[in-house]
Amino acid sequence: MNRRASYGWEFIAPALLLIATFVVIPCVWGICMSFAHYDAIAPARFVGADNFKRLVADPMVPLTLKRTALYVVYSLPTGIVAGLLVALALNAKWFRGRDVVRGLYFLPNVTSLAAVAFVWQWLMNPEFGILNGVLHKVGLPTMGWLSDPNMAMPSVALVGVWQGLGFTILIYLSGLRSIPEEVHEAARIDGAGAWPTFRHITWPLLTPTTMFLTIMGIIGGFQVFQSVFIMSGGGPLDATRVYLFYIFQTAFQNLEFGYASAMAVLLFAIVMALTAVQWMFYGRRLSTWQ
Amino acid sequence: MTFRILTLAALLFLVGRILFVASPIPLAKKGTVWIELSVWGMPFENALYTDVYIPEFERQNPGIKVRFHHFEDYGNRVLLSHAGGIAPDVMREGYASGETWTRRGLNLPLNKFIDGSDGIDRKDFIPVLWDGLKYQGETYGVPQDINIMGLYYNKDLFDKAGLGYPNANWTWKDLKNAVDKLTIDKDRDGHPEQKGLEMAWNAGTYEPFLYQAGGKMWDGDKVVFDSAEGVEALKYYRTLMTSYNLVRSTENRGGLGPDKFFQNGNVAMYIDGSWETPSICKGAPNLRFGVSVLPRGLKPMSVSGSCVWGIDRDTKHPEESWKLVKFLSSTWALKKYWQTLWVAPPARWSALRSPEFRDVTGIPGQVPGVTTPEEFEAKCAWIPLVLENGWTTLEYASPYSDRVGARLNKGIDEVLLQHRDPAAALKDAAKDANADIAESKRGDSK
Amino acid sequence: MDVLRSEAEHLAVKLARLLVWAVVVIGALGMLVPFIWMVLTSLRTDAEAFAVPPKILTHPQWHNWVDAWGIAPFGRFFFNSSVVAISVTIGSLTLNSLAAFGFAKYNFKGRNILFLGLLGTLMIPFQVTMIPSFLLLKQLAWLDSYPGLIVPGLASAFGIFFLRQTMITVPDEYMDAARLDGASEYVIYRKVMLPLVKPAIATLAVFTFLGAWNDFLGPLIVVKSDEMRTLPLAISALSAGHYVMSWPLLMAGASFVVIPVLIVYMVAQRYFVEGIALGGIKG
Repeated sequence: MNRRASYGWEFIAPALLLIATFVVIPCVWGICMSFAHYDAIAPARFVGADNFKRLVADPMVPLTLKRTALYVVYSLPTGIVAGLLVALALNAKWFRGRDVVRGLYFLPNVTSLAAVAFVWQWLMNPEFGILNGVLHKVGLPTMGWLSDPNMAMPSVALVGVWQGLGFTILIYLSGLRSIPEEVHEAARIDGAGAWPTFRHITWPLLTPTTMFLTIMGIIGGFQVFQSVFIMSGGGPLDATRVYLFYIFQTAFQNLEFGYASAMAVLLFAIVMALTAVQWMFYGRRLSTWQ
Repeated sequence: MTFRILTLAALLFLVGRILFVASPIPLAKKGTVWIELSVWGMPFENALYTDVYIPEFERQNPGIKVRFHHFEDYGNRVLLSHAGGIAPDVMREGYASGETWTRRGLNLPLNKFIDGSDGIDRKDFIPVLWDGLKYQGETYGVPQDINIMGLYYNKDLFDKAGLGYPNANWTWKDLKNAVDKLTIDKDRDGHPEQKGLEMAWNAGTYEPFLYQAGGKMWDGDKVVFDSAEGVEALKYYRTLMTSYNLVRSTENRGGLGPDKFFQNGNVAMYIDGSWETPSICKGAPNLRFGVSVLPRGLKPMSVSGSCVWGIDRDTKHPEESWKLVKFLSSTWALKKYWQTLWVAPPARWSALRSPEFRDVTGIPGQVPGVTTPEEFEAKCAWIPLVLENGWTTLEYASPYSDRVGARLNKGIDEVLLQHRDPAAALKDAAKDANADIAESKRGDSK
Repeated sequence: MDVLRSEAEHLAVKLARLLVWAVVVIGALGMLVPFIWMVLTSLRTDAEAFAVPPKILTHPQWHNWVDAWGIAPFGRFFFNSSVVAISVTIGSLTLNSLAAFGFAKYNFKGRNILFLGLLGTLMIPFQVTMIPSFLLLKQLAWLDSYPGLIVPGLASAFGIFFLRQTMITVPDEYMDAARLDGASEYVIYRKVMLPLVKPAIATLAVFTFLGAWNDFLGPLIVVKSDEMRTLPLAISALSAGHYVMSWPLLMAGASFVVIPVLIVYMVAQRYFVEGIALGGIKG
């Protein structure tokens, strides 16, 4: 028995070794580095809490956090509402060609965001892009999609929604499928209309799914990088300078590794808090279902 | 059992590498030395390095091989590779970013090479170019070129409007008049079918106007672009930009710069650096255009940049790297540089004043050349005119150019996009820039 | 009367459904617009691409695609992306399934603590480890190399967790039966466990592969030279005007990157979709 148990160690060792090397050690290293001044050219210097003091005083931190929040505000509700509506339609028994349609919605999700962000940049070109071309044709005022500070973030969020919609639809579809058929049957027999059925039965039963998507969306908001990197470079007037982009610039363009680590530690704390909320929620869901 | 051993071996390997292999294993001294060269530039520029320079250099120096890199997002990529310990040995550097890198300790001091037995003649280079390369008595680079901002004009559109082409005597008023005459918006929808003037909105295009108005960037170690002259320049600049509905971001990426609009043929004038000329010739072979000196305000003035060759401080092959730098900045190489790429005039008087300067060949199939003396007159003659008269400056360049540029860009954006008062915007931008510089200096001294 | 009304109601319901169907289908086709526009632009001349308003494509310039293939070493980029994505997929599936097997089926000392710790690492965002990882790879002299692109992606706590959840449902009796036949523990892993959890492995494989294939931030930090670029980095370089400044050619370049993935997806669509629904993975 003992001998067999030692096989367990053997099996997990390689993977754990790698995780220790490339996740745990860097994590600890990063936290240590947040107390140092380091540019990888001159030797590192311990500076105590200086980086965190700077973090509190740096106006770019609240600004970029706000931009990140703004991205979530633009993309998340849009994605959830659109995704839910499409999922409800697709879930209906009478819907013809469900698999094909579902497949089409999911299509952008598999392509590289770098590539599609690049294509969108061309679509959104104020002079030659098809979006303004269409607006002009139907007589609407054209927009400076990525060059107008007020429009840039919605434009970037639009690309995010476009790419993520398929995922939202799929998650809602599986959520809808997990609702037992009898629940709807019962409602129908009681003579409930479509809206009340949705309002009082489907929507509450979908709450865990919605919650999951919301938390994923918020955490995902902190990961927004590629589209901004390619489409707008953080501009115009910092309108799309999201938090991760700011970390990236601080670390890999200004080589302020210490300060960037302090920013990353703050991000870590935020993500931990969000995850805790999610766990609390799932914990409650489990207890209510049991 | 074998599995157990493999795991252990992998563990030892990883730990061993982390502890002992802090840098790549140096290549054996004997045999070929590889040095890495990095440049940025327009895509077609690579051909000069890969097809002309490197083969010739390797022929002259049998023991040395050159590995060529063309980075995009150049400055960041060089900094990052330096931080990663994999910086190229010889780097093309922008004039101002080179200054920044020198202060950060990226560049190798070159006095002992430049003034050594295998050195170069400093006097043959345009003198002002050495200023930014010096730091605490040392020299950190050798200039390659000096580019200049100029005024591009579409001859057909000028002919159609019956206007005379821009020339060295043009004033701000002439430019503004021409812009107004050449902007045509028949259906008055705010989207002119023909635009009088195109240019990127940023510090780079504002600065010439600042100097023309008699202003300057620096007073000691503080920026003073918020002077009365600076405000006057920005007010004039604004009349050029917002008289019609153009939306252009300073950070627009994707190779869709104002040059594309000019190439398209419905932009009459366009302000940009000398480096755009060959690319416009290539992109729009049928476009009839010329380039002229920027119009004068109080005085005729333009701004210049320069590319310089620097050597990485941590290079393992300083002697070989110097050989390459010396080769790349030789009169022969600089003549070739102008004759093939003609993106910017060479930094050496001996190349600038040579008969070859008037013989722009291009690179067959890749870069168009200049075919007739008239074409040279229209597109290139303005360059020696500016340089010989000293109508250009690099005063703006400093180790803090990045930060100052970012603040100034923001100020300009605010004026043009959010209709802010130029005086207030410049004042804030200057204040922020000076704070950045102070902050940055504090970092340097630590 | 009643019949008539119910028939009218029936018709109204049918019409409403048709309307909903049409909207959803148009939306689905709308998802394709960027791809269609990309291909259309790639077939235009420079002048046509800049026409305002855009014109209908009359003379497709197929040679653009040939030209675009020549502007950058796309063959090399494909090779790099393939090497990285395939190595990461095979390597990580091997290591993760082994670890998952260890966690699921062996009761060794410290297992629960380790597993909890492993779950804990799930919370560490990449952004936090990104900077030290760069310095670590520098120390390993793995920057700008295949190991630097591959090794950090080899082990994933999520992969282990995901497979363990499936493996734990496999009854111990199967393994005991094999042991009675004299099979070693490795043989049990290979011949008994792996075949039983094939669907979960396949799902994980798809997403690991896609994740590695589309990864951007990791390679952006690791890669220096042109020869080491993966496809997403090639796109970034394209968009910065690194190779060429002609939008039709740029769009042709983007097509090279996007279209193979789209084809694979169309062929294996069901698989992707079911995978997500099954695992609810990938953010």
